[in-house]
Amino acid sequence: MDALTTHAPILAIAVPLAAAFLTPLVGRLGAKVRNVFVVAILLFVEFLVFTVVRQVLTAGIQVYTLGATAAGLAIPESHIVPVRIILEVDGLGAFLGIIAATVALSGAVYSLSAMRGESGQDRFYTLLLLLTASMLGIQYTGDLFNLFVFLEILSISGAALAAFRTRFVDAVEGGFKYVIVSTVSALLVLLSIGIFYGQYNLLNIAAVSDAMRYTLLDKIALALLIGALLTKSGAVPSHWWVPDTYTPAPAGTSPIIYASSLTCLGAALRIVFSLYGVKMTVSAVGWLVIVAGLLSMFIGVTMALRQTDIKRLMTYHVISQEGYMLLGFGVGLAVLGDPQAVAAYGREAIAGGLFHVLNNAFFKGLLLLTGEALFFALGTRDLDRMGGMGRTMKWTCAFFIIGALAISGIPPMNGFASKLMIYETSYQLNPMLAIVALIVSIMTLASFTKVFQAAFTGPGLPEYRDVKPVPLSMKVGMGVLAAGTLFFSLFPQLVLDTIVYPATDALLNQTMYIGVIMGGS
Amino acid sequence: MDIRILAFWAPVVCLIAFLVLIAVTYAFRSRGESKHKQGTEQEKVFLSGEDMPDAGMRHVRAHNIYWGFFESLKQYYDPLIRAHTGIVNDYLMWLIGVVAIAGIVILTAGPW
Repeated sequence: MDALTTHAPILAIAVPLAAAFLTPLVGRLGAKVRNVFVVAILLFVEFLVFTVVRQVLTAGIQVYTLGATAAGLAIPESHIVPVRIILEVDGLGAFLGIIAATVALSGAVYSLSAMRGESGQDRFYTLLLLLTASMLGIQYTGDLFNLFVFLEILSISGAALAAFRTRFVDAVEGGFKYVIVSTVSALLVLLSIGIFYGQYNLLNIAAVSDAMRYTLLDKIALALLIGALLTKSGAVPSHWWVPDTYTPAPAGTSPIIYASSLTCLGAALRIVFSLYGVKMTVSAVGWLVIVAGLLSMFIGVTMALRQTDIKRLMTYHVISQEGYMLLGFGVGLAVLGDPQAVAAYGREAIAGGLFHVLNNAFFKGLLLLTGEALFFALGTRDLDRMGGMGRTMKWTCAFFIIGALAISGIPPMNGFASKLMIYETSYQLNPMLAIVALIVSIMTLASFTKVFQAAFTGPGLPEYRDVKPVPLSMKVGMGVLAAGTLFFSLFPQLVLDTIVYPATDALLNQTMYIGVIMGGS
Repeated sequence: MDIRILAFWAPVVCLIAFLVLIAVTYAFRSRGESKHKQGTEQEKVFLSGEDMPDAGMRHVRAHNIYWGFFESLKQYYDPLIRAHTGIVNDYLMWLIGVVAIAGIVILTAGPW
């Protein structure tokens, strides 16, 4: 058990990675065996992720050095800098790991029924496991080049999953756009890594951060990284690929692709806080993020309100909700140079943003699955052709209500709790920020009222008389995310104290992040 | 100073209040007329004496909802929809634009 605990960070990445390539072989034994194999692997990954979380919460930052004589030996003897690939899991990595593993598990369970009848399912689950491994890799790595490699795996597997149903032209087009935008973004990341390596001869995040001199080139690298990672996470004004890619993505994968976008947002936080960190006392960077957040919130929700394709509508909310997260992080960044303001509301703003990331992964993932459930049952995503489905798809309707209330910030749901933190803190920086956030929340409610009215209420339509509720595994997939949403709703303080504040403090404590690798902490 | 915004937030109390409201609503509902004859005219929607249209005609479709809102905000929506060209080259131009804006802000802000 001790060995498992010690090696949990690398196993959480290596197990789904190895399983991805084993899946086609296991698939030859039959679909049921393959399905059991995939779900068992993802359950084991979930266990490993929670093992890492427990270790981080009890023993602090976990360091795992590949190829070293001891897992925690970051700098080899006779060296003064780290030269090996190092995983460094702090509160933020552990926190985001929970999201990746849980959403991947629920998405896979959901897909068991939803993908039945599709050809090439071995490849589908291979890609799903690859995407899971890449998300965990990005969150756990302490190495910049490693980050780039996992970003590439994430882009390729995500694009292939989005384009999986090749019989739909829009799916192929969405996957193509995703891979182009992701690859160019990843190349910008690679360019910035080259800038660091050229200046400091280092690739380890903590070591680069320790050596950082904030030169002109470092500032250019920061601009490249912010631009690339904001684009990959789907923030306005480079959000265009999001609705095109998410809308036709197959059942069960939309929440996982969404979790991969949140992973890129996590990578942006890692860069801004852990790499550049508290020495970056310019409020302009924070305001840059705030403006991106406001644009994402407002443009996302107003475009969502207009849509009649249920999944396209929901993907515009992906953009809008990300705006809230960016607003929280931006407020925290804007006051980073003022310790009093950080203590007064900056820390709480970042915690609000992180709590909203967690909440969104669950309720937004749930809503995307309910949209897919309607498509699965009715064969259309067009809200204009739906109606009265609350009569036949009662579970889907109930899950939709839970997700819709949560995303609209209706008390006592978790969306209200995280939004309240963002309202209160952004108000202290500038009241106008909170006012925009409140208006967007009202429009979010209006948008989901429209979906509820159009899809679930009204008389039973004769063309859908024979429609049956979705199969059990799809309900279980939605149920996992709904249960998480309800748990976070009822016990927000517990969630904040257990995983959100440790993640927040990990972001703010750059000295600790550097110290565990370079010594002196 | 360390503020805890959610320290006063008690969702369980909110949930109990919600359940009480449901109980009160159900109590009102149970006092309603229960002697109606099922499967007769009494179950039909009353539309000033007009015949009830088919289910498809009765349901308000999604594109009708907030129609006036979109109509009055046409000047806001039209450029946004036009900007979403669907061409991946344009998406990359936006990406370059974001990097350029980020670069200008970061390089001109200071001192670091």
